[in-house]
Amino acid sequence: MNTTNRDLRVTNLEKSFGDFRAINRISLTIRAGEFLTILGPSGSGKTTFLNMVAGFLDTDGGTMTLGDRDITHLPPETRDFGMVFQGYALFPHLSVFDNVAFPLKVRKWSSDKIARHVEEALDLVQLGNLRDRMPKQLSGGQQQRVALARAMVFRPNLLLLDEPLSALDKKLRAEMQEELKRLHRKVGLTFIYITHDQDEALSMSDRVVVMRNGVIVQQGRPDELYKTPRTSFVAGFLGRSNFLRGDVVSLDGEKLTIRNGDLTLRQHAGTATLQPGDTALIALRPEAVSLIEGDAQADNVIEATVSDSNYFGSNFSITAETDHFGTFELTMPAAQLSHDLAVGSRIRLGWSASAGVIVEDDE
Amino acid sequence: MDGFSSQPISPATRTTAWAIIAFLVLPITIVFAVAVTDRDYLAMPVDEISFQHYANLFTSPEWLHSIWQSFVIAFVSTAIAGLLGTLCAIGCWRISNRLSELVRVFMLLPVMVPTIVYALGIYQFFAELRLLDTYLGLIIAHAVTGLPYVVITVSTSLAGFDGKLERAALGLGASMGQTLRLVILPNIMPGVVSGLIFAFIHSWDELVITLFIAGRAVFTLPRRMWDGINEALDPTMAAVAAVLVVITVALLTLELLLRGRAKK
Repeated sequence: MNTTNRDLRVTNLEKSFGDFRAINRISLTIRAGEFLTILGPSGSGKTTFLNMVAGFLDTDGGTMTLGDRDITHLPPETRDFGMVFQGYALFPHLSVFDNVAFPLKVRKWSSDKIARHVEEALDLVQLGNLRDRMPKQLSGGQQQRVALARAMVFRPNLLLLDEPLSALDKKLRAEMQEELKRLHRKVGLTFIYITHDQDEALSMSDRVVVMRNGVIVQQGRPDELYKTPRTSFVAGFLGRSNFLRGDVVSLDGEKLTIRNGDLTLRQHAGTATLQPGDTALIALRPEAVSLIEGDAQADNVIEATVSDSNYFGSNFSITAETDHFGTFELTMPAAQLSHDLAVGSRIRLGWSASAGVIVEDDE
Repeated sequence: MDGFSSQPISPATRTTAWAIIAFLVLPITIVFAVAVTDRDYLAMPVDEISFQHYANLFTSPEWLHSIWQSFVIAFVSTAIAGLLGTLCAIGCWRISNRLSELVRVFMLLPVMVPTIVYALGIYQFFAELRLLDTYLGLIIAHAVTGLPYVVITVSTSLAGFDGKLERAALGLGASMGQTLRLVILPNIMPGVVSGLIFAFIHSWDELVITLFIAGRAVFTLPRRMWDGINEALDPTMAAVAAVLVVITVALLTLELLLRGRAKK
């Protein structure tokens, strides 16, 4: 089997519920072996999309192919996709062993082959010693591992994960993120991971697809999305951003000059195509802003009043009111801040022309 | 539960509760006393306690035949009602739209329509079909009137069943049949068993429909008791009644135990 032959290709997928367009002509290729995260707020259509890929929902239009095979209208049980549900969906009347054995039993494997593969799968998720327990005797994290073992034991074509970590507490979630990454590296299976948690998306995925209102807003490597969000929605949803609005006054090659009232900003155009007279929206990460002290210089400098300051050990998070852009957030390593910033004190904020990103306004 | 039991109960509440229990239970206990009478008519024991009527019940070919007939009819009609009722409840649960709600309400008709109205209808209908006074006729009638019990109990079980489990099974490669057998049924089994028990009890002591559509060939236990009261006042009936009560109580206890275990 060659690799490209196991790619999942989704073309112009559509789904409506009454007048509501849940999925609006989505096209996406998921490469074999990839860890792909679909990130979106609730109501973005990400779960609908997953259910269509799994075969639980009919499509209103478009096609899905796995390699050369058209799977658009295949029933879920013949797709050979593993699925991990939100809340795990373990069978409460079956033991850990029988839960994991379920996909093999329905495929009518011989019992010694089943036993061998189930043991292997349970070892993979480090649960070999709990095989005879019932699901309700397990902790959330253990149930999660059983669900993973069950979804992978039959060597599925790909693994669909629907917000699998949402029920776990923060510490366990971090552990399971590591575990998922390890499993993904080890078994080399394609993972399609659905979440509304941007940290999960950024830390685990090879590629992130951001969805909103039934369409893909942007996709790319986590660092690409973080550094160069295409729209204000992506800039605000993946990490935090300050938004600066102004009118383009001139364009000199790569360099834009943007005016807001009496303030002039210098900003790199990036991939944006703006003309003088257009309104520009700049997304600026809190960590890209620095404190300007003494006679230090920066491409852009504005004045602000500190309204809140929080210490997080390794860094400070500061909220300040600016004259031109309302509330501004900035974070900086604690080591860089020599003195305490009292609430109400005046500060100067600065950033370089390449620190911000011109984004499309879609909020 | 502790919070409830520590509440003081007013004497009025206590008295009413005991009165209701007495009215519910005492008439049933009468039959146990009458069943051991030494007279040959329906009366309380006078001089001594006698088991002759129990002996008569278990040696009389007529009574034994009626018990056997009732059992066969109850068994087969319960099986039919159980199968169809369970499938109907699962179907309605899976489709779960306005039409399926309507179907579910429709299924409850046999318990909502007065039995005598139903019996009259069945009588007219079965006369045409030549099903009067046949096993098949009574089995069909009892299966239909037993259906609501199964539909109600299975639907209740399904209401507590996580629909995600069905999708999980399908997603893991199980066919619809395998999902039904390996996942849905084991999880709603307490509801199915309760339904079966209620349907069985229903058929086992059903009289009105039987009076209408059975004559000489099919002579169920309740029918023979009815005739016994009308004609002979034979105390054997009290013995039969006592046995019926014991069987019913045993079945209901079984149902309670199963439900308790399922909850745990």
